[in-house]
Amino acid sequence: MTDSVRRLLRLARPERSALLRGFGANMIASLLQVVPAVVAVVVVVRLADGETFSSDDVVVIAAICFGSLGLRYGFARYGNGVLWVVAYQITGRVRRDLLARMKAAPPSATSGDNAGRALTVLTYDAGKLAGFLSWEMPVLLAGAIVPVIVLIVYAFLAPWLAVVAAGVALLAIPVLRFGIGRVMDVYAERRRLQGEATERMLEYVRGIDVIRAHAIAGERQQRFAEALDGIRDADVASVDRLTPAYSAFQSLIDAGVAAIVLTAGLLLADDGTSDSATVSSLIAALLLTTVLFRPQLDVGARALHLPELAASMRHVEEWMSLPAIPDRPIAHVTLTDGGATVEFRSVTAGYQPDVDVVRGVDLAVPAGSVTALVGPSGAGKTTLLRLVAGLLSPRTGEVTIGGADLEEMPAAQSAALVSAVFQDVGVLSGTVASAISSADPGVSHDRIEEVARAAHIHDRILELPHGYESVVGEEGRTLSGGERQRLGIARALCKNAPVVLLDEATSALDPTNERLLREALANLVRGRTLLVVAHRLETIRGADRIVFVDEGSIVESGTHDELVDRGGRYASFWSTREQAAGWSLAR
Amino acid sequence: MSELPDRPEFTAGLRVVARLCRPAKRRMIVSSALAIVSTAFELVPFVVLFLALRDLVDGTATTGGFVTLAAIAAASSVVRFVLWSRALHISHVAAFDIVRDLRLDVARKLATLPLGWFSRRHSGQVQRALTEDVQRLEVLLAHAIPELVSAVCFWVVAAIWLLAVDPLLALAALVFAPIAFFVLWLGLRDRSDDVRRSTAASDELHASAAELLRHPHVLRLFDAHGAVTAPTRAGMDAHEAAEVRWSTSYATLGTAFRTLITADFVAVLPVGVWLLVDGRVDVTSLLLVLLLGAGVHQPLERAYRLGFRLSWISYGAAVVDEMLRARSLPETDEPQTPTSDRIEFRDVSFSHGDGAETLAGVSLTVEPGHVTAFVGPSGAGKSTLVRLLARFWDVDDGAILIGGVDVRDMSVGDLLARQALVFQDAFLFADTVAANLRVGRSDATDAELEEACRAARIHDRITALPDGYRTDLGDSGVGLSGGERQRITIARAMLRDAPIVVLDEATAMADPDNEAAIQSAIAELVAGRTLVVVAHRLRTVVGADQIVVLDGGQVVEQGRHDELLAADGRYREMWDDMIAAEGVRLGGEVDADVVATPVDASLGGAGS
Repeated sequence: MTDSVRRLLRLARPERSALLRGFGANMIASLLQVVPAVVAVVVVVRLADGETFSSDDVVVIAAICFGSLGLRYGFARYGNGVLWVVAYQITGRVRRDLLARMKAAPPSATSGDNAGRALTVLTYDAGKLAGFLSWEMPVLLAGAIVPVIVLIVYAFLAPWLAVVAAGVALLAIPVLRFGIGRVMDVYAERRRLQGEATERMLEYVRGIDVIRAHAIAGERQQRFAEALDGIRDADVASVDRLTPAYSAFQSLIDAGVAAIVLTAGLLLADDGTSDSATVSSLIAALLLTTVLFRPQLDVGARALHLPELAASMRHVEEWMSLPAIPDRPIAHVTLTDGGATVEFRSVTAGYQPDVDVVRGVDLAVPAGSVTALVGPSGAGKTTLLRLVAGLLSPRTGEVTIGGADLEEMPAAQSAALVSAVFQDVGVLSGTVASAISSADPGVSHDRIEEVARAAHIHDRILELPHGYESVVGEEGRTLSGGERQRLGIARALCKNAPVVLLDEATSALDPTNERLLREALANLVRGRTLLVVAHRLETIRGADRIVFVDEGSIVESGTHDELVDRGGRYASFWSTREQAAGWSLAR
Repeated sequence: MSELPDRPEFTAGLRVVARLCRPAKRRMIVSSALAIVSTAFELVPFVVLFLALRDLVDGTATTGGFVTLAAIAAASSVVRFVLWSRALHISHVAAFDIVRDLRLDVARKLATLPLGWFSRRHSGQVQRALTEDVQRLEVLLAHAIPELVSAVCFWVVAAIWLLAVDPLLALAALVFAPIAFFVLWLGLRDRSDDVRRSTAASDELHASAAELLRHPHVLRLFDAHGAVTAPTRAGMDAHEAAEVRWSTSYATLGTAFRTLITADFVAVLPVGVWLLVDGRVDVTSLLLVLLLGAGVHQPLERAYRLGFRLSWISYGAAVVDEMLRARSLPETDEPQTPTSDRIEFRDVSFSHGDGAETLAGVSLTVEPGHVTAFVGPSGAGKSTLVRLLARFWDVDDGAILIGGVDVRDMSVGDLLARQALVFQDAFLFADTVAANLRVGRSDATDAELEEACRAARIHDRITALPDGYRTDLGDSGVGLSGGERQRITIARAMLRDAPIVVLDEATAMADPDNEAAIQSAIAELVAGRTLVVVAHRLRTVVGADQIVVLDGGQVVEQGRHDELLAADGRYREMWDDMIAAEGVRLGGEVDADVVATPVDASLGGAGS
């Protein structure tokens, strides 16, 4: 647990000087809090000795007390000002680092099931670091420093008191550790349940159409309520587990005063005739207990945040240590054909261990040709595209572009060779112009317009309220499906990469959109190497080569006419398609 | 972020908090009462110290007396923390319950809101309300209420006591607390702009990062110059800036609060010594006020940390409250029952609230047992029109009638029981296949599920899944294709066994492999029912009894396929576009033959 604090500080090394200033000033402020107590000690001891005070003394006392208060505010203000700012800067830096690492990491690390976790690390876990540094750390430090200083004073006043006070503090620590240890396992479970319930909540919001249409709000809420009960029970369990240890720790620290009073009593002569030196030192010691244990009581409450920090630290570190695509060379590799040929050499690949989605595929795609991948759903067509896009690494074999293995290229070089329009186009929120020029934000407006025209989306963009500066909403949802696809084509054109991957969307468009889209695609292909997954066979009748894929392997390949003449899988596929086209809804 | 509540007043937010927490009122009172007693015990060590010091100063201190005092202090520590942890335990459990109930309340509310309410919001905002905003109340309830209520109550009582001991000395001991709270109030008052900024930045960060992570290929292929990740990084920067700005302001005023509330001895000491010099106070009273003064302020320090997030808590409460108070779709008290399934759209106008009219004066009739198809360009209002039938929204003008009864005069249950809807996006819950099917009819037997799935041509695929009908579709490994998921939604609609079937681009997800199966599934579903279909593929609806061409929210043409072709209008244009689209091929020249192929109306004619 304390280990996670050490690791956090190591992570914060670049901001070390600001952190030290922030912690330092806070600690000085904590120590200045002792000053009025020390003045009180002096006053009471002198009163006990029967001395009197003058009005000058009053001025001096006032000056010291208010002076220390002013100074304390000054240091605390400075310390918090520095600390809270640097804490958020650390969170900001960690977030940016994490994002950069997620970008460089194999895409599988941040997609699918991992996407939710990646998002939590970026937002929640990174945020925890700032919270801990700004709030828990100063308290933990003050809780450690102030007692040490007071104990040193005690050692001079009455050594036995120092021993007893130290004993109380040391006894309390294992109790706290025990309590925190008990929550740690509950905490992991709670975090899992939280994640699950959040998923349910999001599903409920996303599925609200279906919920409404089927009037099943009650049933879905039941599911949701079960998940919420899970969190609640885990929360209650963690409080149940924590309460005894927490009370024991706080009682122990609080009873420290009792222990000091008891020791002081034992140091007294039994008949009330103790010498004045003993009495004075005991007065001093007793007054100082008002400032001795207070910071430690805070420690008890703050230390409960350690399990959360430990969990967040662990997740941040997991991502920080992600291998940025393993052993990638820095230097660009020399390519043939300007990087326009694509070749699969005995490629096997898959997403889960032991499940191959692509099995021993050999396929050469010459520069400037159109190759269409056709086959039943789940055949592995999209996976082949993902391999070329570098979104997936082959288990065995290699994928080459321009004669060089993608794995042997720097990630930036292989990414530059490929442009793509996938089924899920991925138009991100932002302006239309920025969406088109994603790959190269420095491109001229004329160029943006040129590719938008080629993608048959220019006229539609001009109809938007602010033309090219119009903002498309989250997931580009202010656009229709066909418009999003054409915007994706414009973006792909703007990138101007030698290889283009196209995963034709399965969803149907209205006829006008469909025509514009197909013409846009034809423009996209011109002069480039195209690898296309086609769902509507009409689109790819003219392809240089049609490759029929099933169960991860190539079954047959050739031109449309050749394959139809052969009467194999493609031919039967084609005839099914023609029948389906003739189908109609009617009574 | 125009949909966030408009600068909720800080105190207004707190009033909302109080209202939201009302269900746990009794437990919060018990918890606070226990906390007050516990806080009173918090003073015991200070009293013990006072007595010990008094004896020392008076020269009457004895071992026996100190042992007794120590015993009292030790016992009070145990009692104090037993009470304290009991109080916090009660408040925590109450907080957990309230948080759960509020989330459920919000979820229930969401199910009654017109869907237009959702489309005006960033999906992230609804999610944040359900997660973070509600969660924040937990801190307030679990800690803030018992801790602060007890601290303040105790302070007031102790202050009265001290004033009775010595008014002047007591004033010196107590003066900092009101000043400290005034400073804190200054610091927290009117921070809604900071909260908005920080919340907006956090939403932006969250939404854009989530968007990025959903599209790894965009991140990999289009971010060479960092343009794709720019909004996420901007969100991070903005969030950092907002937090820094707020922290800096709290560093000034929050720190002042803490400094003042912990200023034990600072004023009492000089004032006490001054009064002592004047002979107006004795040493014992000075000692008493000195120590009790320190003791009564200790609990108030807890407001320091709470204050830092109080504005956020109050703001979150306002957001949740706004959601709970949003206007639900009104339900009639005297529901009428239609006598037929004849659907009539009577001069229907509707706007999504963004200024533009989505539907403008649409009138048409759907005869029972007929197939009516809506076609037209995207944005024409087709999906909106069919969804109005299920009251996803209510019309702005005109009326929609089923069997002569306005849909607003029917009970929602009856209205929805008459319709089976199949949407384009084939949404399935992360639940078992069976549970997803029972969404259609909750009391369907296993045999009925199987029958529907056979009819929807998906039974064989389901039995091939690892656990058959009990397979959890939430597992990422299940890997059903879009077409297969669509067939499950069709089976779901069949189970519904409703007289009216609404297909909103339900065939859109078909790929060649699935298309034939989906088509037979749909043919089974619609047999003998009134069908309303939104279609993009014109070929699928050539046999419809009525084709309605919508454009710009208006009916531009209406009739059977051959009538519309003959009319040579908008439908004819779309048909020609479709033929042209089929002629565009990748890697080949445009095929003139196909373009020139005469339209064969019989291709998809009735009965095929």
